[in-house]
Amino acid sequence: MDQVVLFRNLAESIDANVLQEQRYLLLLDGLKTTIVISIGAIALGSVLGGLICRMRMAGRSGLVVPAKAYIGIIRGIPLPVMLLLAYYVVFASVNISPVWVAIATFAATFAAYAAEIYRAGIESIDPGQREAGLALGFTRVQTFTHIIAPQAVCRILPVYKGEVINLVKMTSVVGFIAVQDLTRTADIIRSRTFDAFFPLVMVAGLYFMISWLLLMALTGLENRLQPRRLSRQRSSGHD
Amino acid sequence: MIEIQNLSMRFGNERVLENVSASIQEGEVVSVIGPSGVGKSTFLRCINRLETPQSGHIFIGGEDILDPGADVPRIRRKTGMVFQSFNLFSHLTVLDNLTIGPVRILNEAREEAEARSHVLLRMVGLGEKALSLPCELSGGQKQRVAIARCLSMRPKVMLFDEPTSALDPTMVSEVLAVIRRLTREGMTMVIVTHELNFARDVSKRIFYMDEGGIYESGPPEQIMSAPQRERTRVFINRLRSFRYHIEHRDFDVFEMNADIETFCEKHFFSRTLLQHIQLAIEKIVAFYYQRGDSGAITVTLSYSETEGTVQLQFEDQEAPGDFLTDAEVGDESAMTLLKGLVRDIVWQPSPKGNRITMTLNESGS
Repeated sequence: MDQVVLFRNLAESIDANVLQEQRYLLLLDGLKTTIVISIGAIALGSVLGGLICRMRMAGRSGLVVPAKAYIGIIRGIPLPVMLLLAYYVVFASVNISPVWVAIATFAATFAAYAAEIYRAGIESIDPGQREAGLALGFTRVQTFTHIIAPQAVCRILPVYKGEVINLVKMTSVVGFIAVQDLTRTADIIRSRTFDAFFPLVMVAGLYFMISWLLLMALTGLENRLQPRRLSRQRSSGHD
Repeated sequence: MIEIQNLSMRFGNERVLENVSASIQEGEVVSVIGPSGVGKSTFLRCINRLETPQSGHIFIGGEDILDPGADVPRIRRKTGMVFQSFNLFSHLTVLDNLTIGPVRILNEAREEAEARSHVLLRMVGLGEKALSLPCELSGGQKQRVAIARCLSMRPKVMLFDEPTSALDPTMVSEVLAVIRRLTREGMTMVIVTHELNFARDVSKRIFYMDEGGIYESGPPEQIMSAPQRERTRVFINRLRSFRYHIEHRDFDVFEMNADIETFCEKHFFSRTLLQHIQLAIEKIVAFYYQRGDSGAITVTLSYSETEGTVQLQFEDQEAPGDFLTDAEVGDESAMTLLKGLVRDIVWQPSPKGNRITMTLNESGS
């Protein structure tokens, strides 16, 4: 009997929180916004992070000092404050969608952390690898792309994955600048249906799903890049 | 093939190489030997410009690699370098370690590069390891792959930077065998090594490096058997020495004895030998001051690891005079005792005064 009651309650909850007033459209919109901001910020931030890492490791103080300052400042300011600063101060006079402001802010933040993750990965490669590359006749750039980078990526990915998940979860504060993301949507539904439990748990589940999918994708990439796998592929491809 | 002119290199304020010049002919094998920290590796690393010296020229096949406008990667291709720590590309298989250079730098077709690499791997005895990763190989195998990787670029000169120093003694010979094989094929090579016997066997010339440059160079027979200069001799005979300056007759004998004891312990001298050394010094110093000398004496205790002999030398700055032969009657017993301790004892005048040299009886027996 209890199970029947439980099932009926669940059906009622879904009906009230998802179906009535076409709330699933609201939810989908929120989900889309969260994904767009996350993916945009990760893509942009990863590239920007590479640039900052390059500056940070340049060895010339003209490049190193700005990079260090950037990383230090970004890491020292809470993300919601950054977001508000970007929206109400930096982009105040520009007519721009708050979603773009969010992507820019998260990308800028992600870049600072990514730069340090890249640097740790690159510096963990034995300098002898670089010397061997140069001695063989590779240029500096070729040595980096053919020898250092492929090895560094394998060491960067495990930490990078963590940072990616972190970013997805941090996007939940975009409600501060009136972006209707997943979290904000759940809150709106809660205020309409006076049911706190169901929409929040549902959204928590959705965040978990996004993180999990990203994690799986990156783990797949990580496994594909393992030297063992590569050598097996190569050898089987030739036999 | 290689022409080195007036090479000077500093690390900060430390002068490592000073005004070094040398020339290496095509097909010549040159070994570079010398104590640690005299710039042997730095010298070698300047040749392919892994280190950039402050001044000088290095012509490789007529092109100056140190010229500011030089196309360094292109000139580097004429040289191959084998490192002490192998430095195989750890993300690539053995085969890919060999093909990456020819394919990416020389734009060779992959099939051609692989075929050539298999030949090279068989030459170094590792034909069956083509698909292994570097981490699956032993040290000796890694170094042989490293040599094959250099050869895959068809270099004109091979540079070896202590190729066996990081290896277990059991693996040294397999690597040396491969290098020997290259010498037979007429490869031009510069080898920095601590394996003196190997250097004697394979090289046409040996550079002994010390004091910031090539201190003595010549054919192996000369450097190994009849070195012309002091430091070369010390290095070749593996002389270890200890020096103490006695300033005055009331010197601190306890301090000197403690220092001698430390030196003897370091080289595993027997207790008896230590006592004999101390006794001999005591007697000789007594002779000096009995004679009425009051000046300084320099005591040098040296030990040759290759010959196993211990030598004592005393130098003073007094008027020449052999007090060993004109010892007075009262000293006779001391003289007898002294002669019992040593194999031979010789007086000779030195540029500044007198020099007494004695070789102690072996291991104090």
